[in-house]
Amino acid sequence: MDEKRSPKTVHSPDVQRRKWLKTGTILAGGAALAHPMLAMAQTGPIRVGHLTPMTGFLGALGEYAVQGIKMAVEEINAAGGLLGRQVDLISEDSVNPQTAASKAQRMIERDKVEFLMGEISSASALTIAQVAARNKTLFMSIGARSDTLRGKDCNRYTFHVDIPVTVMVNAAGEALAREGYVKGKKIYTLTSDYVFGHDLSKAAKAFFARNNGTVIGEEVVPTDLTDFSAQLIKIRQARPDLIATNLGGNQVTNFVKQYAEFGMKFPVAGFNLNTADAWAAGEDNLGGIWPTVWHHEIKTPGTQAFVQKFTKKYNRIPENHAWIEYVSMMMLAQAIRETKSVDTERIIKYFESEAQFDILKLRKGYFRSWDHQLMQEAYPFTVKPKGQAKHKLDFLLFGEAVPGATEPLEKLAPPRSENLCKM
Amino acid sequence: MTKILNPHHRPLWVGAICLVLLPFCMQGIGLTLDVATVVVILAIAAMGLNLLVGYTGLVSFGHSAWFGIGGYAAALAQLHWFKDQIVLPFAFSLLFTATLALVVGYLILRRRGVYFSLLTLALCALTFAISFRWTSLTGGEGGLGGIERGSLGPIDLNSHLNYYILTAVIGFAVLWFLLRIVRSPFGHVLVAIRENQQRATFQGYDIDRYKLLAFVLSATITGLAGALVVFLHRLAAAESTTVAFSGELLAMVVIGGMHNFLGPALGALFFLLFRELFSMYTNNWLLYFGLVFVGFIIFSAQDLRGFAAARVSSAPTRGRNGP
Amino acid sequence: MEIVYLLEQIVNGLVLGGYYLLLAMGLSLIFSVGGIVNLSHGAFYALGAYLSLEVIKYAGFGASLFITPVLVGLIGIAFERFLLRRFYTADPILSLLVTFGLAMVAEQALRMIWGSAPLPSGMPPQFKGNVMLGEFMFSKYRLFILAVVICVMGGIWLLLHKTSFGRVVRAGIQKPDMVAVLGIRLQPYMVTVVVLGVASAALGGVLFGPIAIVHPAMGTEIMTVAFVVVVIGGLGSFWGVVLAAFLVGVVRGVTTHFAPAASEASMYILMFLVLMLRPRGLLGERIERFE
Repeated sequence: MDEKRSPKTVHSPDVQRRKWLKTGTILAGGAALAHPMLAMAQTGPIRVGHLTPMTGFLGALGEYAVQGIKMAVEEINAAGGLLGRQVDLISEDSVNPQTAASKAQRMIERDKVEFLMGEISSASALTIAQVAARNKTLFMSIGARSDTLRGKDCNRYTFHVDIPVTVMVNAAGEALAREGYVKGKKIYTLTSDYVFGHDLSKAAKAFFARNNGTVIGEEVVPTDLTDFSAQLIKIRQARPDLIATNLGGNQVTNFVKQYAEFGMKFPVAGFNLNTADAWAAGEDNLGGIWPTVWHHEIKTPGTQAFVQKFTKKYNRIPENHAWIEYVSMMMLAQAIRETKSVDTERIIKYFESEAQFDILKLRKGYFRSWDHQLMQEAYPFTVKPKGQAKHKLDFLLFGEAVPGATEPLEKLAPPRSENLCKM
Repeated sequence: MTKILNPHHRPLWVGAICLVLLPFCMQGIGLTLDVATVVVILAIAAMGLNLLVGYTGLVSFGHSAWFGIGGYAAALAQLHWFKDQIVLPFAFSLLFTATLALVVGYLILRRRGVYFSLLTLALCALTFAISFRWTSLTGGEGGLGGIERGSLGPIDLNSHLNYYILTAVIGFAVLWFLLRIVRSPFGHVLVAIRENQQRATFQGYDIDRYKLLAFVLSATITGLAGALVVFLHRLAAAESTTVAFSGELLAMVVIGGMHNFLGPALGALFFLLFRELFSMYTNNWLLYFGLVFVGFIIFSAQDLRGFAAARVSSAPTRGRNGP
Repeated sequence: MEIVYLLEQIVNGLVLGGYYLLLAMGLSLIFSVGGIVNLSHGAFYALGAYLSLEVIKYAGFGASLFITPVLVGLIGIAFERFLLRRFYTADPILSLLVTFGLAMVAEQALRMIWGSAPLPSGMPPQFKGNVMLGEFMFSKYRLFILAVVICVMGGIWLLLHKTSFGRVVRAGIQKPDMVAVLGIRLQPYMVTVVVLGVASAALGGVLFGPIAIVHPAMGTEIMTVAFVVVVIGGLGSFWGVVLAAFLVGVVRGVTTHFAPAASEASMYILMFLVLMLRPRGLLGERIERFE
């Protein structure tokens, strides 16, 4: 297009559009320059990158997670920060594994974060862990529970806080076996079709095999399946003694609600259920035995203080993801204070020294040195008999901590013989 | 000397200069080199799409399917056959995408207009369903990780700069290639098909073959962009095949200008700047981007030449040398 | 495997089909009468689900069944007046593009207003439980949905075939030029058609909210199914859409039984086949403009 030759001075619409775009782009660029975050200072706040899903079937849990970690950061900053520096938390929605990876990369490169924390989805945690390892940055994988993350996909820059699938299966499974739901029974399983679901399924099948239960059918459902009617019909056809769910996020809630809708009478239990999802299911819909990593009725001063603070600040009871993000930040803070640095290598060594942390439970937790998994107690829970709930969210009945007080914390966790982690 | 400088080659000059300046501008406003690489990749994808939309008049709502297929093909090639290499997986990806596009194009180009667009939409949704669910092949939700960039001879591609240079060189090659196509007799027939398909048939052109070739070229170029992004992120994921991403590609083409050769590239830059800069201020940047997109269509509807069926074709506003 | 369970899957598929029908009918009407491919139809469905949650807080589920579609219908009037009206005489591709953009905007707007996390939605307790008809077990609530769908469809059929309004609309689908020659402007009819269409989509949202998850992307998810139904059924045919909705529902239900991972893909393959072999759909009219 040669404007010099044309006698017309009126610009064609395409040229005008390009002018608009150019101006717009320049303005946008100028605005970016003015943004303080981009004008990088090398000292100053300690930047921590936080990623968690806030959309999709784990979205409701992500909300709690963000609230938990923000509360921790505010407490730390109010007490003077760490090593005299304030903590600057950059928290974003990880959306899906691919976006999580690119955001993690961007947080390291552009936002210059010292550490990465967060995640609930095991698939996203894996991609973030790979980015962290490549950039030699510490990543605390807080809520992701798949066994393979701590197994064959482990790397020395990633530490795992939440209990892995094996522990969840063992925690609920012990209670199930005790109540007589397993031995000699026919079991039908439902599994979410992603890495966490498959891990649960594998561990569950191993558990049932060890305890003489027979798995008579398995349904693998896509993670975005909202309508379980077809599966419910198949389950009715199979007439199991127990329905064991290996579902993630709010799929459990959905299934339980529709199960109640159809009014079937087979007992339902499962190896994964977050308190938020249990509440969402509602008192009338839920039954069975489930595992959890923490609950708000634990009788330690630490937990009670945390619950009070959280309820006052956010006007709702904290659930396990809020708690675990809170203690993760506190653990990192302790590590920074003890090593007097924010150097990744020193923090890794500190964690690997199996230093003890107060995680607001009866017993202290520590990271196992060879697979970076936090050792801690877990709890089975069930539903109170009808009419005992004092308010809408009070219908859960929590059991005693497992492993028992005299047993080693590592009892339920996968031993070296089962864990393929090599660092 | 004057021959190189003449305005005939202007798009190439503009392209080359922009490719050189882009990393500096990006880093100047605080974005990273990887973001610059993504801009070039999206520009390649959008220009590939525009060959079909802007020049041939076939609106594809499912081009992200090709983006994803190109990426998965390259990833699978590396993971199963050509460990740690980059050239052979790329070659395989191009070949695979082109062949698949040939088959698919042959089937769906028999329909025109809205039906064709709906078919591409269905295809895209189908591709997403397959990439999300066929876990054993595509890694399902988690995708295929563990992709390595390797090296090209002595050049280590793990460096951000080296990978950008590779992408920019490929981008320039695509630019040159598209320019040649668009200016060739083949390209002019495409425009004729866009303006009035019946008349082109009367003039004796076998429009089915032209449309098919345009479809294959368009899909392959977008597939190449998909392969580039997989090696950039070292991950192939279902996110690349969503209908939403197809819409974003289309938005880049429409906003950037589909009757201008470099328009889609500008649209890609605009989209990315919008995303990176606005997402710092608000989580709802896509809302504003969508509003801009809708606004563009409403207010410049008559500019989308070739689509307003009732409009008489006006005299060309461009010089003899083409767009 | 006993036949009765397969039959149950088929019947369950029919119930699903009924719910697809609510969305597909509106989409088909807007498509056939106005020439607009409304890719933002799912947004009205999502809006219906979200608004219903708010209305239920004040007025309960029963009232929400009536109030929410009316509210969304009002929004539909504005939608038609300010957006769709510009595109009736334009190339259909433009309406595809603009409604696509609108769908994007709507999803983000929902996210901005209500947050991106899925909202809990409960079912009114009187609907819980199942109903046994001999060997077959049905959920009470799904039978209720089916009943509502049949009533609404019956109403629409009566409107289209027994009123003068309907006569003009049907003529406009088949022979818009003749209608113009007869001196009848189709545009005022479009407002009613659009309002009907988006209101039934919203009703679908209200009905399915209690058993599904209410989240911002629910609109786009349902769109693909609605589309498949409309395309398979064919434009311009009331019974075509009905037939296609139940067909898709049954195909999905049965495939879920045998190969759950493929159930979604089966739908697209079906649509693909139909578009290839018979682009006007099973019972549709040939509409020149779209080819």
